[in-house]
Amino acid sequence: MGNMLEVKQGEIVFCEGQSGASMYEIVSGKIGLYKKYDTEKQVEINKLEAGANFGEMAIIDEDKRSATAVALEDTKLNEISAEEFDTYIKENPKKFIDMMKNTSARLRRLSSDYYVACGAAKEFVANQESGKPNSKELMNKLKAIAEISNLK
Amino acid sequence: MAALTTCTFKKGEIIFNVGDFERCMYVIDSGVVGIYAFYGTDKEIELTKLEPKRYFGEMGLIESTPRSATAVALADCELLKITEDDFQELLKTAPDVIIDIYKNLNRRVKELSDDYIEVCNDITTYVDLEELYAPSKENLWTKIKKLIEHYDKSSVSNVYVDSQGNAVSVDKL
Repeated sequence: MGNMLEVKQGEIVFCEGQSGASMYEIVSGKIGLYKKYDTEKQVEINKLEAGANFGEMAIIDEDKRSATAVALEDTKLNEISAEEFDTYIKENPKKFIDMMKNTSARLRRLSSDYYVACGAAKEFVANQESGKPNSKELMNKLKAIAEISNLK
Repeated sequence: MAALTTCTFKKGEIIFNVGDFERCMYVIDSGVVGIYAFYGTDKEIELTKLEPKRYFGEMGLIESTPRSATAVALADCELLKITEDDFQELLKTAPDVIIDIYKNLNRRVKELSDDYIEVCNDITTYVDLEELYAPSKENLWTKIKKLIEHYDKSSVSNVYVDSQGNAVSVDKL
């Protein structure tokens, strides 16, 4: 199942914005996921080790990669295509449960971040209406939001 | 596999409350289920309304976390209860069902990521952080007000209305 790949330290597996239709399982080595890789605004999203999967979002509907994946050391990968995905899951139920947990947790965090952002905007408007000064906490939230925005 | 347990709920009955801890999800066989934040309070928000064949509560099951919203029977309901054991069993006997749940979760992540980035971009575009310290410009105020209307709409129609409805964390709103 899958196609074994070897990537050297520093090599890019896929780039943010590229279209892709496969996910990867790390057999050995380390992978870093970055937004705006190799620019001033580069942000590391995650560092993954042997046993972890990445790139599974693109499997769902062959969408563009949302981050750049780079080998942080010489790394062996198992590439699983969208066609192989269902079979892969049936053969690796434990791994699949982990993947589900990760996605579910991510969705939960994302919902929370989203509402924090909306809440900050609402509070800002309320302050405008009442002439109340903005709290330091609100300012910090808005600054954090501005940073997220720079990622795009 | 063993048949799933059927649970019945009368119209108006609560299926689970936010904060409850039960490791199961439900598939609607008949009836309508409403998913709410702040249920029964003046801040109550209907997050989504689900009809037969739809499922809910899967995140609590997958992650073993307390319920993040309240589920209420909006009509007399018959629900199929999928426990953790059933879920493991389904993964062996009908993996496509579980794969479908997984794909839906990923879609929701993708959609919500886009919404989130959009909101952050909007805020950054309209809220000049320098101006925050002297927030008296009328022009800015008008723009933000417009933006907030957009959020209010999107938080009800785009985000809360996810396919299952229990993915929300509204306590920080």
